[in-house]
Amino acid sequence: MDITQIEKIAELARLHLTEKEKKEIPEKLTEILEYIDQLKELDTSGVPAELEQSGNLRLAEDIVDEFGKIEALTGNAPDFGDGFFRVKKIIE
Amino acid sequence: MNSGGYETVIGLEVHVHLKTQTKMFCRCRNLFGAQPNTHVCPVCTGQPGVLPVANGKAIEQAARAGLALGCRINSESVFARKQYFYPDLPKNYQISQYERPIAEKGHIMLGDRKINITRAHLEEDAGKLIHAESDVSLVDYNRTGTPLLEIVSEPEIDSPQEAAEYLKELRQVLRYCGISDCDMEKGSMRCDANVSLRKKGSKELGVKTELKNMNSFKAVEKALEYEIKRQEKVLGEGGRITQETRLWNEDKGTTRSMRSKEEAHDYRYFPEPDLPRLVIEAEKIKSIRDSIPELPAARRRRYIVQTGLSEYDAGVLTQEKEISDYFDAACGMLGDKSSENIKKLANWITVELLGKLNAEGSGFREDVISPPHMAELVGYIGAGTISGKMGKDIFEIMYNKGVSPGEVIREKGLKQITDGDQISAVCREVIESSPDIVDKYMQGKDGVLGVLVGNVMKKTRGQANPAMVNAKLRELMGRRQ
Ligand SMILES: [Zn+2]
Repeated sequence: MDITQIEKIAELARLHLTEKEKKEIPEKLTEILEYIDQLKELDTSGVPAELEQSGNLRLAEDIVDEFGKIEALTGNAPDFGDGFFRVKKIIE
Repeated sequence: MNSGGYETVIGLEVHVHLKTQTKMFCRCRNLFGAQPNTHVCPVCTGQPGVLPVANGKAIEQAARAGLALGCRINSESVFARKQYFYPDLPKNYQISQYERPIAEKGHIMLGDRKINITRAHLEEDAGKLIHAESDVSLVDYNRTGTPLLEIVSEPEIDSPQEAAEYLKELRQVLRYCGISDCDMEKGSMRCDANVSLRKKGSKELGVKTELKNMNSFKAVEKALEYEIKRQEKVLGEGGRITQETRLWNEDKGTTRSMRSKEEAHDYRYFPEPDLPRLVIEAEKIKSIRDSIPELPAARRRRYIVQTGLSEYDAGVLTQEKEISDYFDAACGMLGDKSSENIKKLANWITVELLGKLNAEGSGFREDVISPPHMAELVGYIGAGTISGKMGKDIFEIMYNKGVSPGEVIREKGLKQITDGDQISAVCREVIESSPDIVDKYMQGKDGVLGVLVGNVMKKTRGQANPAMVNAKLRELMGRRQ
């Protein structure tokens, strides 16, 4: 892990790292990656991947049940007016 | 299409909104055109601590679409998180499918051409951004979390025209199955197109660009045409194509590079930890398959091969399932099912009924003239009980009042006169009262016969059989010589 890779990951995750953090994090992340590499050495052939919760997906019936307390959601917004959430202009 | 020694390679990614009552992972109403931010909840606005619960109907709709497109339905499929930051995506990730989509390996037939479909996967839509004022964008989360199906074709489409044909056929199939309205203008169908050029005969694909922002089939066609010319020019001048996303500008008729930061896609997909894998039992797949109606291509073939209709008529009758169902219902009720009568029925539906509905700007409605009434009308015309001209008058009354043709005929006494003696009598009257015209006819001016026929029709209020009148007049005047 070098600084360039860290900067790219930080950019994708919208994280603002200080210069100090940029220096410290590569080492820490490298440790984690090495641990993952160790895990990869395990022989898992014949073991089905269980990435998610066990069991099948629970399905809901397609019946409307509105939340109703919209103010609870809009009230949290930094800027809300005329029915819309307002954000800094997005240029397409 | 190929010009300048290049072949065009097009692949389409189509998103359609699934017809459901509620959203994909919450029970907010799935509704287009509502007041902004009125169908939102903690789940679809990404509040902390919430869990998604998948909509069974949306999954059924996706499987139905897959089956109608000849896909294999995966008995197990997996939801995945696709991560990016944008104000229309409150969770900062979209739940989609990546490695194992619900449907794979289907196709669409365009005549004899087979366009393969790589995959179809379920996902949730993002919100709607409105760029109204100068320094702010407005966000409406009503659309956030509504169920979408993305259908990806193989890069096998070889011209802009074929791309439009593919879209029309896809739209028709999905509408027949009640999966989506597929209205591009309302955004319930969206299409992105990948296009590249390669040297004719070459197996290797060229560098592609992705086109976005086309809001109609025509726009897809025009955008592709423009982009192909642009790429030809670049390559022709020895340049290279940059892999990028380009936005279609409808007003200018050009595409331009989208140089936003979002261009650097790195979605870091991983399996959605909040949703176990989706298992669809074989029995369920079978019952969904059984719910698929006869599809447009099969109906067109049936109309042409079995019924003897023209390709054009078959196309018009199958443009919407409702029209085709109407035709089938009326056809079943025809007393005389000769191909001549069936063609008459097809004509009355495509020319008169659709013509009138289109002129009124309304979509197809079968309630204005019911299938049995339509079959009855065509039956009278086929049997010669009424003439085609009378049929049109009767049709008009049926259309406006919803009555049966039999009722109109009885009430107005409109039956065609086919009684020889009755026609003879009227023809004699007309001949007696128009000596000048008769003289001209006798001098060899055959054209004036029409005037005499017209007078007979007038006297019988259009009810006389015109062919019989014609023959009778000739016969009578012939005798007078
Ligand atoms: Zn919701």
